[in-house]
Amino acid sequence: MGRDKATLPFLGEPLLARVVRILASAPGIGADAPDVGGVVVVPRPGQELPPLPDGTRVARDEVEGRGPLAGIAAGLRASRADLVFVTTCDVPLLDPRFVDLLFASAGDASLVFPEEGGVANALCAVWRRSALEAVDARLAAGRLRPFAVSEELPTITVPEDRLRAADPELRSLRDCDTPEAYEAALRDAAPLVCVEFYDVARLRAGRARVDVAAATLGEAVARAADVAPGLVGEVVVAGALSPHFRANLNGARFVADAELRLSPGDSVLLLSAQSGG
Amino acid sequence: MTYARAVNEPRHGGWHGSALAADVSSGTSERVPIGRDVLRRFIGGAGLGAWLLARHGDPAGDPLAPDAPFVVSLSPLVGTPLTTSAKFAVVAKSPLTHRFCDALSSDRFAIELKGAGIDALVVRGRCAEWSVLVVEPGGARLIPAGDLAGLPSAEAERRLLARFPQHRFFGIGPAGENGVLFATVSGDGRHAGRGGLGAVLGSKRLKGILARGGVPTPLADAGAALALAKDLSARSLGPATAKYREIGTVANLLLMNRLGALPARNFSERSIDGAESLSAESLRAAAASVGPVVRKHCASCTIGCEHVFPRAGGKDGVRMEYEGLFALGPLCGITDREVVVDAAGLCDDLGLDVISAGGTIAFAMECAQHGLLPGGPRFGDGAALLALLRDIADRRGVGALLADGSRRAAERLGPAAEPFAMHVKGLELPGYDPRALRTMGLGLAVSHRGADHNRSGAYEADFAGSPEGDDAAGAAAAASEVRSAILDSLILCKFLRGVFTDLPAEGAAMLAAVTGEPFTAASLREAGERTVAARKLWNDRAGWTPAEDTLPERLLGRTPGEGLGRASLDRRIAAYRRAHGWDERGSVPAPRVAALQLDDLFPAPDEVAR
Repeated sequence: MGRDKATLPFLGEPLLARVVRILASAPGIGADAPDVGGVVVVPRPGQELPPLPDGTRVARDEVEGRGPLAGIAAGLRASRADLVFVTTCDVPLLDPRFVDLLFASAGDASLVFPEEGGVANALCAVWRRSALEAVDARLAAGRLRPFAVSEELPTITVPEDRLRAADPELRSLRDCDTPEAYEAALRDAAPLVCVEFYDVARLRAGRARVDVAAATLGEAVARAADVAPGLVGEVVVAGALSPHFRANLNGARFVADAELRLSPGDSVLLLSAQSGG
Repeated sequence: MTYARAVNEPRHGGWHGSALAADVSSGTSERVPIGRDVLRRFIGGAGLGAWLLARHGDPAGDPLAPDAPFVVSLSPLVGTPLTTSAKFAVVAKSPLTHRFCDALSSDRFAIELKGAGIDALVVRGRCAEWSVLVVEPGGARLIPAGDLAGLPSAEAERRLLARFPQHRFFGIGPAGENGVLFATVSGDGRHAGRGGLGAVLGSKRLKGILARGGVPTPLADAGAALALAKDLSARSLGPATAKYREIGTVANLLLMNRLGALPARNFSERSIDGAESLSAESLRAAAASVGPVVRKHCASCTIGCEHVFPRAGGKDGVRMEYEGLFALGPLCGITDREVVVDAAGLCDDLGLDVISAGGTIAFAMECAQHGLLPGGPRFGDGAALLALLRDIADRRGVGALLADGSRRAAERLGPAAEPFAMHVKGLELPGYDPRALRTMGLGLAVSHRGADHNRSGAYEADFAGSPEGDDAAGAAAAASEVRSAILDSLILCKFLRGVFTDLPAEGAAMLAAVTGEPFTAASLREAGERTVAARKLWNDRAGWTPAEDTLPERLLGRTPGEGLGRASLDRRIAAYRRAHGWDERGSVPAPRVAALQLDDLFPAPDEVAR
């Protein structure tokens, strides 16, 4: 790519920052789960990071040349969660529903790998923190292939048809290893926007805001309901904003057209239609 | 509760057909019949109150003179099973604005007063000593109340109800006794808040009114009324009222801050750092260590919008609403939660309108900042706020200056202070900045009682996506006034407004079932227009001039695009007047007066001369 992928611009922000924001919006990682400690970024030794969303934690892997397994170890060590979603920084189309499905599939397994085309993926997968002991042992032995950890720990592979129920085009697994893949992802990506919740919408969402990838107002409302299912049935009805609620764009104007195009960084405010005294 | 049915043919219900006129100077009272045609035209509440004030009050008179009437207007729905119907309007000439003023409240007091067999109470005169007016089915009498003078209205209420457990009380606190021009009247903790009507009652040396009823409200068609009531109650528990039930209006603060519509530091700013500390969530979190937030209902109400926040140190809990939160907080540059809650509780105890109290103190803070009020309070000074509220109620020190509101205080401090008095017609502005909510700005500019968010709900047009163009904005503001007048005459709670899909049609059905009169959507809409026009005509006779329909210069915008601007506001005012069928100057033309059947009440000047 000719430059550090983490800093590649993607719809107005560095690629890594976008991935962090998507992850922070996933159930069980972000504001709805304060105990897990949020998103942890593990840079390569010496790697400079672009600006990241507030609350992002950074864990350092200080030993050169050990590859992604060492990064996984640093991340597991820094995490406060039992189950940890691990990914690379170049998956801008990652879907929180995909992440949620992997978490939900874990059962008692130590590793949850998605499978596409018959190939399991260890670098967009869920790792149980208790796997750290085995990971450290393999690193000490110089055995650096992440996938090989599954040889000694209980592992679940989530088949493609199940994955597609959450992410129909498996966009979560599309990385940006080539300029062509990066350009294609830019074409296919919806801008990341922030949905802010007020009054009853905040009560139902159980949070103040969420970042979602959405090209239109209607998509933002629907994605918000995916992430915050408490909205469904009252704030969001049949995938659309209920007539008892209003939407405002960037605090500047009230909007109702579900087809309204959104731009990167837009904020959509959802609030009760009865907004006066 | 049982409901009687009138025995007359055709079956009539709803109204008793009379007002009680009490002269507290002489201690006499008499029942004054009100014709059915009047009741059909004006219905009740704000509408009937407008008719009574026009009949009994001198628009040009001194609002604090003994002859000035203090009207309590009920409605045909009071005493019926319809949810939120236990409401009443207090109507008088405002001593703060010197314009028509109607202020609504809600309590079992409404049911008891109506149960005395009347549709309204008109009080005139001045007692020789502090007294309480007792209204019962047999008439009215005065009882001495010297022992209650100086007490908060709620404490006076506690003592009186211990003696008169079957009665309900509505009265004033120290501010009303001392003639503070933004004093409230309250009962069961709810205030008829705006315009200083507490000072009018205080000028009559009345601590308050005790009412006991017993005469049921007759229902013309009890079956239909009960069916409508059941349906309305069910709908009142739906999503259109969820905000009020589950959070209360304090939820507005964070949103207004985000929209740049939260007046801060006397409207010099439109948001404030630290607003989160006054959010509904923060208020609840802080209260949690003291006790539960208690949800309360008005009598006959299914919504239950009141959220009483407990306080530490054995102090009574405080009903927190957005208006008190913004006016005693950000408007004064204060985000200290405890100070704001204490200030709201203090306003309740003293009987002060929270909006005008906060607005007038914020004015003083800005004057002090500019050296116009040496030693005056500074923005953000919570201790000064709390001390000033007491000084205002007692008319002590600088409090004596501020007790007359920001407009008069500015007049006394001189021309340099006048730009800092944020009022319309003398009434301080509520918490909706017109630079962000521009249809609301128009509504505030033209409202008959001054800057007011209850007689104009024009912000609803803004929240639905601001109307494009001056004509649409003018029409929206005019329609909002008519809609409010309908709700305020029925009277039903404004928090039900999102429940109705067709308010005139649904309101007409309720009135028809209760009264037996053939109300229609059109006749109810016309009644709303009539009430709006009547208040306008009354204000004309009180000295209204077109120049009063405006906003403070600051709110028109200091930079292009920041606010409406003078020219745009003027165009919208013109469109608003056209939408009401008024002339360019804002007067109601004679044909319109006649068409609204207001010519008997407001005859043309030449007819008066003849």
